[in-house]
Amino acid sequence: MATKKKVVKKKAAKKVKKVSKKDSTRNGVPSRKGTKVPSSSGKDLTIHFMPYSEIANEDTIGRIKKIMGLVLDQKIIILQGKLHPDEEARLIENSMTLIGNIKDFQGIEIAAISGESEHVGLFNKVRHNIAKILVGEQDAITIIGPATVVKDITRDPKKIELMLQRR
Amino acid sequence: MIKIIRNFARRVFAGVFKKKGEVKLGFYGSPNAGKTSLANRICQDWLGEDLGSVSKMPHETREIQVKEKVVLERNGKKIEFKLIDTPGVATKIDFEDFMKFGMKKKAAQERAKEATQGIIESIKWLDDMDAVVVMIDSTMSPYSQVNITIIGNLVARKIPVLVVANKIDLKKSDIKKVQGAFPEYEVVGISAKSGENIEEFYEELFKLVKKV
Repeated sequence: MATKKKVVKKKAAKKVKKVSKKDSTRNGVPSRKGTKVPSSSGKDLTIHFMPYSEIANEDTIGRIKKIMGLVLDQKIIILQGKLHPDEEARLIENSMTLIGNIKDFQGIEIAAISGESEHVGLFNKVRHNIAKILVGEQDAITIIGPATVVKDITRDPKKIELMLQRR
Repeated sequence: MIKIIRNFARRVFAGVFKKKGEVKLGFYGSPNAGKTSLANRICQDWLGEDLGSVSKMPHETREIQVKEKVVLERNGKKIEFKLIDTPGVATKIDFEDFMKFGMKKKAAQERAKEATQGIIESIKWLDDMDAVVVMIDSTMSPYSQVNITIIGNLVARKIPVLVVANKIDLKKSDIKKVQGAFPEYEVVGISAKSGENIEEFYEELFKLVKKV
């Protein structure tokens, strides 16, 4: 009986040790070796900065493919510039097609902010429009993320607030 | 480029063979903005019947609904409309949101699937409109990307737009915010539910048709 009790006690101690190990990583405490801070679910939150040059030479399909690839990889994209309204519509269409076909995919969150309102005066507007035609709308920022990661993006004229899902 | 030429050809072709006076008027916006409520209000005012059902649960309209031969009259001028009520456009759909309204899991999943199809249909129909009423819930932030994407697509297609700030009967309504978000457009505040300011809406609608 005594030996049995000892065994049970040892097992219980092992369990406690295991739990405490898990807790230390769950709380986001970095291990001695690691430099990454894992989130509560064990997955890292990745923000991908995409300079406009990365999509400048792509056609609509190429751009959507690139963006959706990152979104499906659970990444939040900060895109320098803005998509064309038609591309945004296609992106929405594309994500709707994937809901129900890809496990746990619920769609996307997207918001864009640009300095358009700052181009006051005819000369500035003309200059801005010429630049837009030549190099695309680069004085804008677009945030795109999977709805399972990004809970909401609220946009005021000059600021964007990103709210993440609790993990 | 091919798409632009195709759209242009389609518009020219449609313009030549279009039934005189018939204006295809689309209702676009986010879910629960009040698109069907306004379409119903117009149909009730001029036909005495509803176009579709309305619900507090989002994505109640999941298929395009059309009402033909809706004739509106103002200052002796008659215009025949084809009203096209579209499903609300959203960027995400979670079936669990429907379960909060008491739906069972399977039914909620089915509704979510239908809602995604509805959004795809709404986007596809953008090309077929002569004029569009963009409904915005004036109790919410107007800076939603869905509103911006819809209006951006209509502008790119040169389709005249009327922005309607709905739910002005509610305390939280803020028309000025809607006007501030879309300064380049005519914004008319209404309550599709109570009928408040509906005459001003009809006035603006007739002005919109002139641009078609």
